[in-house]
Amino acid sequence: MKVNTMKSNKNSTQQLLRNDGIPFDASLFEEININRSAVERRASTLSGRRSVKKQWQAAWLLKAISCIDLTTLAGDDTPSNVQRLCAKAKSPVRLDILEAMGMQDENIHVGAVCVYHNFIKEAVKGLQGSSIPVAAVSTGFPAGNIPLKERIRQIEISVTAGAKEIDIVVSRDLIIQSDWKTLYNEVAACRKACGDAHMKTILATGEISTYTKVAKASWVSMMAGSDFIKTSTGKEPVNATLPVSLVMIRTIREYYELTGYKVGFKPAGGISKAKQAVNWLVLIKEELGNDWLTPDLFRFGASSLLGDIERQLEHFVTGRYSAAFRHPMA
Amino acid sequence: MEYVKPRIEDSFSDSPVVKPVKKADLKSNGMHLPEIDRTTKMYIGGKQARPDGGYSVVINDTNGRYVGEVSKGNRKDIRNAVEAAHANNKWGSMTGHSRAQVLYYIAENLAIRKDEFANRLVQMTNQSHADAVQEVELSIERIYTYAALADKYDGHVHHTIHRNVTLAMPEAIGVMGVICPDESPLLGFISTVIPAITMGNNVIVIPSEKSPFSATDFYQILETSDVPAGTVNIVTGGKDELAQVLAKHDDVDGIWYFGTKKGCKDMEFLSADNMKRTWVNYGKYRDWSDKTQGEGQIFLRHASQIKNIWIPYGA
Repeated sequence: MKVNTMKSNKNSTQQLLRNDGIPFDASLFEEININRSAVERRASTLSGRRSVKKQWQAAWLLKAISCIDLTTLAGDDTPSNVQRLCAKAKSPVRLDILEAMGMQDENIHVGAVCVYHNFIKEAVKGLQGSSIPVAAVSTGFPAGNIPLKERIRQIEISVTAGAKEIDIVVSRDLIIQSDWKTLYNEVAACRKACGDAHMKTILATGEISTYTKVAKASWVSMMAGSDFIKTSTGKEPVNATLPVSLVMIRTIREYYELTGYKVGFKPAGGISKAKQAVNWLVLIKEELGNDWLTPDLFRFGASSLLGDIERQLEHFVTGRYSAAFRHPMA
Repeated sequence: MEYVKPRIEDSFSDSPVVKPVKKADLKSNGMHLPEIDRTTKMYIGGKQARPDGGYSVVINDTNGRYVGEVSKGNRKDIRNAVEAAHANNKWGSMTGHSRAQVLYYIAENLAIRKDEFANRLVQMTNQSHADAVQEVELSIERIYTYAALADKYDGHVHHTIHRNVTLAMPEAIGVMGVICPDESPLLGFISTVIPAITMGNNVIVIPSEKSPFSATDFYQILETSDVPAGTVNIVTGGKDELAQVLAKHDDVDGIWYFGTKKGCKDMEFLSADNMKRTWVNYGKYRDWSDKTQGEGQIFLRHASQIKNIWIPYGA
């Protein structure tokens, strides 16, 4: 029942070169034309394959936990909910399960805690004593239909309140109208307001009609200096899907080949099962390689995913299928 | 160790109660073999699902002649069925009255396909056609019985020594495993599954291992009778192997087992870990066509748990 630690996965100590963006150049993405059927075929082969099993599955699931942005973005959030979430973020798996796997000393915790602006202070308090950063959604989340000036102001307030990561939403109307230059300027302005805080740019792909536009919007966001590009807010009718992730991941690869900057990727919304999480990790490993399989460059935006992973880990340890109530609430 | 048992169990048989079997005779075998081979799927979350392992099992009739093939379920299929049962929060939150309407509808839809189900019984068990028709009719009647009880199986108001009104209200157990008897393929299935869902439980059913086709034919009745997806999930295959996975599953709240004495012991032993409710037959067999043995409020009692609400009165 032991899970071996892979030393090669722990080399993220070398400082990651932060994406400072490049000047706007429409010629880099204007020619993009996505082949939808090829994308769908490639994405469907990933989840259709026999998945990893046994101790390898457990290891992948622990990796997935370290990449979760444990999120609560609901109208009924309260300070105590956020504190409970923070406690869970610091100790995501029951100790006896970790001990059974020999992982109790590996300091396993989630990637970040993601909350609305109002709860940043609460989350910072809740995460005291750990290295887990607080991420906040900003810029008029989830629709983003407020003036740019107010969006910038929101980011500044969030950063002052202690958020180390800012998830911004882009103006979907600019993407739909292919107004790439304005989009670039807006995202660049947000990045400037973020300062040292890492910026994740949400494209809300469920509201973008074609993969071609998703690819172009990904390019513009990266050029404007996004540290991460993120699929969805979790509030659109369609959230993260494997095909749309594949499209975005390929642009990340091209951008890296062109500039040398590694931009992170964050799928969010609708990822609630351990099996799905493994599918995404496999996608990353195959398309971007091990370099991207760290919390610095890959995150899940998820709330109930952790609960399912805990159940699978307990099943791995005991051989009995587990129940949700056997694990502390997130 | 000996338990206190209801007296009626003394009247149960020591061996499965089956209808007389006729010798192999091609002409009287109800239906001819279907011309197009069809391996039945399983029924999980309101959809017909292929087995995870991809294997099937050959089913023969009581005279050893080929009838067809069913999917061979494994532990992953049980896991999926339990997930599907938990995902269904519609059935349990319906009122008893609404559940009754759905149950009546099931009975009506079975009634219009009486001949088909009777022929299937003859095909699998080689009993006489008259006996088979009687089994289907009894099944329909039994569904009506439980449908009528769905909103009438009330709790109690208890007198207590202190000044309280104490309400004892039956509530659904939650997600239940139902392991059907091997004999009476249709009636045994109906007599166990219907009372369990009458009380609002979602069930994972392992139908008769030897004669599973009555249960697999029943998918189409469930699909056309407004039964919410995930209320009844059916996994075919090795009875005791699948039953043990259910008994070991920590997210199953109750389990009924009708089968061998050894199987009963396993169920109680394996269920102890998460203290799930068990109801087993201790190797004694009911005659499902006998109403005193095959139906009654005892089934509803075992499909529900009592919540006591103590209401003090007086100022």
